[in-house]
Amino acid sequence: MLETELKAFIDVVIRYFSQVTGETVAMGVPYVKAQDPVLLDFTGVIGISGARRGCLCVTSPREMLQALAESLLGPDGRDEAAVADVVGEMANTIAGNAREAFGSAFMISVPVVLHGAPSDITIKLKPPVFVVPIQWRAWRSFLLIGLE
Amino acid sequence: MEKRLIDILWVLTSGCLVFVMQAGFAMLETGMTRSKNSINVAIKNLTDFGVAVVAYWAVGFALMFGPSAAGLVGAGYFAFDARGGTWLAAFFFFQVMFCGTAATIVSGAVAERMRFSAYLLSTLLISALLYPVFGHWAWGGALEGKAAGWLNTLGFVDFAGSTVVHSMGGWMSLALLLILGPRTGRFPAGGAPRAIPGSNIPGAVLGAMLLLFGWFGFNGGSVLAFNADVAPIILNTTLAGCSGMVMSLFVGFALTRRWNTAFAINGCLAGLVAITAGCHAVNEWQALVIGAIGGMVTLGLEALLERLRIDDAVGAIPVHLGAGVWGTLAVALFGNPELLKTGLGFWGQLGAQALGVAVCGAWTFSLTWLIMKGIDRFFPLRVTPQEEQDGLNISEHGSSTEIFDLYRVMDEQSRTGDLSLRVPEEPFTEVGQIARHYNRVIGGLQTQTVAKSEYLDILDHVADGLLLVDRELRIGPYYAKATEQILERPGLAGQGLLDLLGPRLLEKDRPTVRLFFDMLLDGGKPLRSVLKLSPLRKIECFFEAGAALRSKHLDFHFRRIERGGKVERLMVLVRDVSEEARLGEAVRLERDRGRSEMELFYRMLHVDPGLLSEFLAGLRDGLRAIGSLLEEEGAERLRERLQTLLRHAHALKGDALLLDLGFIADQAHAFETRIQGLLSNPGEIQPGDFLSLAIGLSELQKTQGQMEALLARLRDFEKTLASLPERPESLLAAALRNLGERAARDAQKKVDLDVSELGAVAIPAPGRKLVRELLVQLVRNAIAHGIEAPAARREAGKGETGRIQVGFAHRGPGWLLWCRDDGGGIRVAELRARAVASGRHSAEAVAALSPAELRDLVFEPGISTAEGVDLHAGRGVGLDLVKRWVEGIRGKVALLTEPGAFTEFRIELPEDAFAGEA
Amino acid sequence: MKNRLLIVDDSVIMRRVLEKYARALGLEIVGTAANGRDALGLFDRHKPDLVSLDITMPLLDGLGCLKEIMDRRPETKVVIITALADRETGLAAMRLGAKGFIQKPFTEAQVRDEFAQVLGLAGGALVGD
Repeated sequence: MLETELKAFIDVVIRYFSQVTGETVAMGVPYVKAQDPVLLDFTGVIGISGARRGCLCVTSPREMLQALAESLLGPDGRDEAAVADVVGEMANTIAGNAREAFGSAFMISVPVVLHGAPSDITIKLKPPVFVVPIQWRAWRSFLLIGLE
Repeated sequence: MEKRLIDILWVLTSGCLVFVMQAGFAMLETGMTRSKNSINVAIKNLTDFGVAVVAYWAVGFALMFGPSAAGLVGAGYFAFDARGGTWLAAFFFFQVMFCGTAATIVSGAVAERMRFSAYLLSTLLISALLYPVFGHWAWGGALEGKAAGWLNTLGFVDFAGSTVVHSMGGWMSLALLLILGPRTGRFPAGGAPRAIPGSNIPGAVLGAMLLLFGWFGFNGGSVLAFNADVAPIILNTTLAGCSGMVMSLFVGFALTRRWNTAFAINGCLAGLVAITAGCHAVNEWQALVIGAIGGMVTLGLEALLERLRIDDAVGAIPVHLGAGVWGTLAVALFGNPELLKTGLGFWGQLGAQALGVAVCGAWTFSLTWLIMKGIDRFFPLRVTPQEEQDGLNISEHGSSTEIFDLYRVMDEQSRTGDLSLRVPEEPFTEVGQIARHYNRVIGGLQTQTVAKSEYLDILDHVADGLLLVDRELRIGPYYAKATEQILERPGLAGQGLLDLLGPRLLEKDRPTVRLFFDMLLDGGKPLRSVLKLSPLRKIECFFEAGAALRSKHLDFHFRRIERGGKVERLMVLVRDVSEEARLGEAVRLERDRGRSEMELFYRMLHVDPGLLSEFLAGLRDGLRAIGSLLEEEGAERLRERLQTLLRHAHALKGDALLLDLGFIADQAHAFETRIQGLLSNPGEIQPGDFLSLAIGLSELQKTQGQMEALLARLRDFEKTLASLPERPESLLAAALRNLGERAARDAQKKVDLDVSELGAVAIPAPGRKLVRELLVQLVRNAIAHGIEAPAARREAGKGETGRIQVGFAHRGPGWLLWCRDDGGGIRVAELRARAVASGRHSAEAVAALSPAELRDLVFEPGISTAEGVDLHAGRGVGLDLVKRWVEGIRGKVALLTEPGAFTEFRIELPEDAFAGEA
Repeated sequence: MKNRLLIVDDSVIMRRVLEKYARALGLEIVGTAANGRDALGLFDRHKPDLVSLDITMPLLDGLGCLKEIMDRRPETKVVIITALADRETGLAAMRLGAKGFIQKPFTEAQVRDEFAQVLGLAGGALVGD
């Protein structure tokens, strides 16, 4: 995994969070996991193929997404549907930006949103998995990158 | 009233001529309709005559020519009996023919859809009621030679029946057509009217000729005598018929640019109908004009009916009603009053004529409509759609014709798709010819279809994708079923190949693929070279599979299909070669892995299994420690975290070097260098800076994984070794000597490492790792910092080869470990300068330190006296680690040194130092 | 009459190798050029039947040179010889009117086959009447 590629993915995600929230979003110290890390309440999964293969996930706690939805939609953002929307939207935007950032040598899949950690969906994270914590207000999301 | 014999002869002859008109109508109507109805049309023309004659005999003649009751209706002669009266019989014979004519006009108009029984009913209606009653009004008293009917009395003139016979038939036709509706397919919903072709136009022409011939008697006989009037009437009749024909034909041609036979036939009949009312009272010119206008009226009315969507199968209404009305009015316009003998002026005559026309219409149309509509409610006048489709020959008369047989087989064929059916071939007939050709076509089709179904079978079962695309790259209707599976998309027909493929390819390849297809489709480009440049050979395509993308390698081959030098289509063969590609890739990976594994293996074989196992445990722990350090929550104290990471990395490097595992040492060194780089950055350290460390860690982890795997394979080997008498000290000694040699070589120094005192006492197993690591750090330190370069040693009057002595022994209650070199000792001035340079101490504080305190500086992190940084020294980390470890188990480190003479580290470890370590 | 060949390649070695192969095949070499501009000069002077053309060259690259050649004498048979694995460039050359394509590294047989194909001759008989 090249550092520049990793960096580009992180930038895409950080930029997304910053733009959406309009607040400073901090990246934590990245680390490595050999096996699949635990997923939080909602996870957007983006498959990647081509020059590198594997996938990219953004996994977030429900509370964070609720807060995010509220900050986007106001009081309307409290329901479950809005939360799922936010995750889907986030995954789409990140996938789109990633497409732009990586362009022609990567195939980027249509993102899929997972609730919880469903056992029937294997996430194709290729070890080593790089975990990048993303801190917004009191919550932490994780960007998981597992590419060959 | 007695008649001359010649008059009787003439009237009888005329009656015969009028009968010929029945034949004319039969020929005309069958010719102008479809052959599936030919029998029905023909038989109607015979049977309506029969019904009409019987009905007219029973009541019709009585109502028409019986003694008049107030000019409204005749009464007398019911069930007609001539009682031997020759003239009376001749008169009846002549009049019954007229009645038959009036009736038979209807048959053509309603042809091809009216039930036969209903038609006979309508014949009964006209011949028993409508014709006789109106006939009485117009002609009543003719038998007596005086005007008796009320219209007749008012001066209405209709010499031979333009209105009485022809218009009446027309009016009845109109009413019936409105009830019946058009034939199926004549006026398609929302489309232009469709002409229904006649089946035998030459027959229709003969019919028209017979009608013209019959008309000589129709008009000529109406004189009811053979006198001077007869010849001019027949002449006028002929002239009008011909002028109507010519006019209609030419005007029709001018309008449609076609010499349409119907224009000629109906024009002729229209001229004849028109002249019928006034043929006795006009001259030749007038006859021509009347006939010509009659033809025009017919043309116009035909167009009008089509516009109104009234379907008159043979044009009976335009001819008989249209020209009949015109002819009746023309009597007033052209008729010679002297010959008319009504005593009316022009307007009076015109009024009388118009009245006659209107009364005929009102009487005939309304009665027909009321009666037949009433009947229709209980007893449909029209045949069913299926019967109409089959043709009235079959449905009404049960007679089959060869054309019907042809239709029947064709129908069954279209229903069952059974191509083995053949139609009967009647020799010597036109339909038979058609049948033979049809059979030939079906035979060919059958052969081809069988062949095609074989091709389709092949396409369904071939394992590779095979398809044709057109110039727009659209996939043709037939392609190998496997294609759907390969492209993971059902229903490919009509889809664009490029649209299907594009999203499956990497973006960078898409323009190339498009260009490639352009070149393929350009017949002028050399195919060989274009194919050589195909980007679609074993190309990787990506398909969605849940959240991930699955890749397939597809191999495309192309052939041009050219017609007239132009590439019309491309044949495309596509195979899924993922398996091959995967195997190839696996082989390649295996080879690469094998290569690096061999390297690892070679290195590991040179290491004692026990040490290796320990090393790996240490590596695992170290990497885990690094990992958890990174994973630690929060972004505070980043600099301190880096310091800790540095120490871990340094320790890993030391271990690796000890075992001569250079590739790990290199990685650890690179990792260390990254940390150093971050630490040397004076600015604030960002979490993002740790990214490169995470990557470095992942690389180390990968190596560790590989080694673990290899170790598992080495396990048997290790077991064998374990069964041998264990002398770990000697192994340690050998390993240390190795390290010493390498470090000396790298530092370009000469060193003699004395390990003889290591083997004196067995090191308790739990402590081996610590002892080894302490010794490694101390030896590296001694070589890097203690022993001088050979030149310096020479200058100092020592031998070029430095001497390092290490030992381990039981001392008192604990253990003693030492490392002594005969190098330059601690260079105080240099140490001071480094301490200041490290930024941890001010120059004043350093200057104030006592020699003992100064010595302690060597144990501080970040202070090193080695000049460069290499694998072995220079980071100021080794002694820092030593001190931490030793103090970690409550031991003590002592440093003895004499500048220019020696440095000795003495480490005392408590008795229980190794008890806690497992 | 011998078929006349112009060799355009920025590598001296490549020019030599092609010259050697071409001679063995009985072609008459009318000139060699190391860049597109020189090549056009030689082309105008000698009007060769066949041009072997490299893609990446200084001054005027292969595609540019090919376009000029096609503008001047479209009947000229141009064979692209390039190390570019990039198919798009090869296809672009095809579109401009190149008649053949050889990818470096090549063998003598490949060169012979391609030249024979492009000149419309069978089985490597390159000397026309």
